[in-house]
Amino acid sequence: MSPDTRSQKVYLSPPFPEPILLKHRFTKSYRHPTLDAQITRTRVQMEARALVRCQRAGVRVPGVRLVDAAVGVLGVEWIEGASVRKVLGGGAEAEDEDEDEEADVEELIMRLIGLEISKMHRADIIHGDLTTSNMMLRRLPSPSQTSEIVLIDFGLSSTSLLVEDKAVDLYVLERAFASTHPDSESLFGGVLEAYSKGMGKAWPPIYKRLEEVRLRGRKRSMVG
Amino acid sequence: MTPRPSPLKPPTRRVLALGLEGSANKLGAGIMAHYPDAPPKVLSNVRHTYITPPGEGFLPRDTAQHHRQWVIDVVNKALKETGVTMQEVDCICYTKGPGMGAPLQTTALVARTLSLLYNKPLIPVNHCVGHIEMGRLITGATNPIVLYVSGGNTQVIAYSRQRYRIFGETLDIAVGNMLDRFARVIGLSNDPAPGYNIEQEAKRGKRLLPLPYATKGMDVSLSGILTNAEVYTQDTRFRPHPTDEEINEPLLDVITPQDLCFSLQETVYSMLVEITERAMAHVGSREVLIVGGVGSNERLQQMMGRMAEERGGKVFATDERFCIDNGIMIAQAGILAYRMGESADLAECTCTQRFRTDEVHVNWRR
Amino acid sequence: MESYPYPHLGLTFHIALFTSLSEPTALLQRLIHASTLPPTPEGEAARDAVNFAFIDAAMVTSKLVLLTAAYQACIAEWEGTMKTKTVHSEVLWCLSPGRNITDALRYFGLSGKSKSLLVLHICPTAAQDAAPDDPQLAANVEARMRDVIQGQLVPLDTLISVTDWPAIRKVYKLASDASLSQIQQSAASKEVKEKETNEMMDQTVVSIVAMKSVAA
Repeated sequence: MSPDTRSQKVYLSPPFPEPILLKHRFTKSYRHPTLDAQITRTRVQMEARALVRCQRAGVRVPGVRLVDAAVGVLGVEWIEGASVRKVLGGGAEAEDEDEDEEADVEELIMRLIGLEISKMHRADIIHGDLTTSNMMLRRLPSPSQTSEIVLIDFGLSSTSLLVEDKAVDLYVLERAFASTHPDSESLFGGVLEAYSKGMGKAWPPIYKRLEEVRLRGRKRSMVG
Repeated sequence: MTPRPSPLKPPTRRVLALGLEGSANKLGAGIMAHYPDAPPKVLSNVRHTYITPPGEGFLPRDTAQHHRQWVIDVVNKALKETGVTMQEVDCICYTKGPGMGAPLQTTALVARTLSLLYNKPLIPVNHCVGHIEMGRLITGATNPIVLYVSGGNTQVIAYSRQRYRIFGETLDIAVGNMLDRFARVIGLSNDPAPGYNIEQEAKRGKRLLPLPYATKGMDVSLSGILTNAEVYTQDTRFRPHPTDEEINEPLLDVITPQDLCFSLQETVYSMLVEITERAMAHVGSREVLIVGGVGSNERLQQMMGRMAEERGGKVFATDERFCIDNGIMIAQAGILAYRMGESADLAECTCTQRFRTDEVHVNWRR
Repeated sequence: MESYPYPHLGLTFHIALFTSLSEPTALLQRLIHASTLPPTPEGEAARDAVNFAFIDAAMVTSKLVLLTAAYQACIAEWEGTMKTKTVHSEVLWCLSPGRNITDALRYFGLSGKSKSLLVLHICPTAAQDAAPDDPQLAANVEARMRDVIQGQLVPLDTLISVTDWPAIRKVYKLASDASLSQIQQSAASKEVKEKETNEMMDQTVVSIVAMKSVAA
């Protein structure tokens, strides 16, 4: 999906039981080579740092397994499951399910998403590219019936205390919902509700700023 | 599956549209012809640009004054070049927005006056849609991802369900605005355009200076680059008026305006190409169309071409006649709406500084 | 001893866990002595005999952590960015969360107080048709380890009971991690909490070790 990386499932020492996801960042020939090398290195570095920070803050993310920033390679824990984008897209497997049940599942997923993002923002980590493709619904091994949301792809992440950056992070996700899941307003509402609970007192200023960012995006004065 | 037929029927006779553009410092008039059995034709495309002295931007009041002063000449020239008269024109199209208030008002006033004088229907046009439709016509790109880059806009746009939807955009200032302001900081001339002069200086730049590379998802933030570039001009190593040796000797530890222009271009255009590529991957498109004044930048076109090539796709760009604001693009977007049976009452023919690209119902496409 | 071949590196990581270590000080003296010998055939032979990474097993949370550190050490060797002289000492550096080489050796290396020891040997993977006396064969690596270490060779699964969890928490500075307090606040039983806490510490340590080269 991402035009920047190629990912593959590998076993470093087969048949060592745990597979990893190896992400290789492409060299972009359109970029100045110095700039490109710098961006590649920075993105691998930022992603690895963000993953550890998230992990330690209790945010569900894949663990880091291997880092080779010089060649743009990052290995992370393999997550068994499907992206939220795919899950929400429905498709054949969703058809014979009860519609009410499906709505309940969607609601639960939105709550989990909101909760994970709030934990991430409380730790002052900005994802930078929140989309439904960048969230996995991890199937827990049986007998467990539950699933959990795992945030992935931290290549554009940064750390920031600013309300602005957190609001923009949410705005990016809101737009991703709107462009990939038509009629998604209520879904995103569920995300914000869980997020606001998770953020507690930090929520009102972020909400206020989110409204400003929306306005800036939609009705920003545009001079021809 | 056969595609749905185009909602746009071929005209039964020749249709002529006069387009008027004046949303910023360019005043343009152009005449577009659509035929029953031949491709559309640009009959004329005349432009006059308000150029300010180095270090100065264009102010709304002075720009409107410029437009008032030149509009009769520009319209007359557009008519004279084609050999058609106002009586033969079928509709008058003008820029409703977005843009600067006073210049927009001037242009709308001219359009309304001509409409009353010659009893012609009026078609208000969204400036951005004008750029897109003109780009599609000239390049033949059928359904491209559009990078719209100009003094007031920085947007990545994809068509879907009769709207030009904005996938990514600047979170603060527009790229053209950023380039104009930077040109002022280092005292570059505004003639023919600040962006053009930055491009020329960049060709002599040697040193790639670190500037904030701020892509956020499909959006970009550009104000930090401007601030950082300004900080470099306060650096003790900065040479505002470098010698040839200082420009050409890569081992000298100096920062020249040429280096800044070079670094600025490399960084900013990489960011724009990157978000365009993201949008292409997102919707699965292989075509890119670059429109807007900054779209005439050759380095941007080259980088975009390289990216598109790697994806097995193609980049479409127009030359400065159609890239930089002009009247013919307004005529083209307007004539499409006119052929769909649209026209507006005089009272509706106002203008607005804010007018989102995705507000327009693109009923002429399927 | 367990052996992990990494086909794309052409290397095999051999790992063994020894408990009930007797005379760790003598082994330590032997290592120091070998490192001071001149580059004569005898000196090289003495060094070859102890050419392993000796890691205090109390400071390792899992096999995965050790393999991860070994892999990062190999990347550093490959790219010429090693902070220490050999790939085996680099493994100790990679295990350590800090930037200080002395600390890395002090916390993670063999000491007079070590009770159990993880021994790691990184060498080219032996060929399919290797002669029985090929030093790269697993059996021969294990024999050399047994020769050097006075202790009991036990299965690697035993490692979990050897790990000094409070020391891990301290050295990796995990005490204030929200991920751990989250577990403490859950409604689970004390035993479950302890198990989950240790698992979380292990996961965190794997990530810390893997990303050390780009740590802030």
